[in-house]
Amino acid sequence: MTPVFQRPLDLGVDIVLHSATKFLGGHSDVVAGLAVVKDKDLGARLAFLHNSFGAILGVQDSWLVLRGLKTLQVRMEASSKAAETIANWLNERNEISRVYYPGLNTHPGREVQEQQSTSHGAVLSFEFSKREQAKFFVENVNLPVFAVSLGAVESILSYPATMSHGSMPKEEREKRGISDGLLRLSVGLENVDDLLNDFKHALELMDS
Amino acid sequence: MTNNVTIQTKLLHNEHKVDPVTGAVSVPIQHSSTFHQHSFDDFGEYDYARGSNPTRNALEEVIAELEGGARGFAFSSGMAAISTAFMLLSKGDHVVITEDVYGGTYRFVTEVLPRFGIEHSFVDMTNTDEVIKHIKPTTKLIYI
Repeated sequence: MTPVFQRPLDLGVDIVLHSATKFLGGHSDVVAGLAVVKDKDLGARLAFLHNSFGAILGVQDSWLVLRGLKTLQVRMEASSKAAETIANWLNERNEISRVYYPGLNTHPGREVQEQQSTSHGAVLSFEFSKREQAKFFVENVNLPVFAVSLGAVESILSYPATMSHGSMPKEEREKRGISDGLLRLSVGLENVDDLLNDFKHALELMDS
Repeated sequence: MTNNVTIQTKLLHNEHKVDPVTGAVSVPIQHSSTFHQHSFDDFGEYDYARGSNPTRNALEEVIAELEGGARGFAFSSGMAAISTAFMLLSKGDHVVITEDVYGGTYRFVTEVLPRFGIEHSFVDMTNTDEVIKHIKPTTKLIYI
């Protein structure tokens, strides 16, 4: 979401945590984390831990995040707009059993999400009924990179079962709906029609 | 100075848009790991770069302003930020955490925190009754 679409401190939380590696940095060229607190005393306690633990961000990386932030608004708006289009398009495809995106009418969390944010975001996931289909799709699309992470200028397709949730036991993962047929897409800044053509090509190959 | 503008504009026009010394419109990268102290008794704003340095400080102030917070912190990774925040807890404390959580956070909460006597309950965070049901007298943190 980032502060462009959602400000959790305004919603009443005490600490906001970011992986700035994602949208804030935005260019897949820096690993960074950020924390923000509203309360000064809590800030003093976290500052003490920040210094004693010492897991601080280096200056080159700090600069890269500062640089990325300047274009955050336009990147978030463009990627989210494309994500909305892609989610609706995927939702119409027979090859795909389910699309998870809060902008879809079928998403149970849509109303709450819309109360708390000003966009549905640039990340979605979709499920094939079989692992082999997910594998086929990944192997037959050309544009997105197939990688861990999200929130970049290029679209990133990832396989949660062995990537973001690779450290979660299979049973726990499946309980959370992260099946062997699930793929996650973080939409970048490509022309959305080029992405759709790429996906259409892979799905038609799968059908044939 | 920038309180009355939108976030879109604040991304560009914030406290660090112009370097006060040179007028540079990009934040200078200050590599120094330590800072000379002109006074034996009174140290300057910066002493050792782990504690604070001007480049990281600029990022921390910018993100604090964007989020509407009092203070920001920049860490070497998202997990460094998450695990350091969990260090606010003490032995005997309890965490209510969303089951829909990143695998790295899951690993930290299930394999590291228990060694320090910090317990957790995973809940369906989309169900507020479920969240309330799992709050105990020792619950100090709700992780969304």
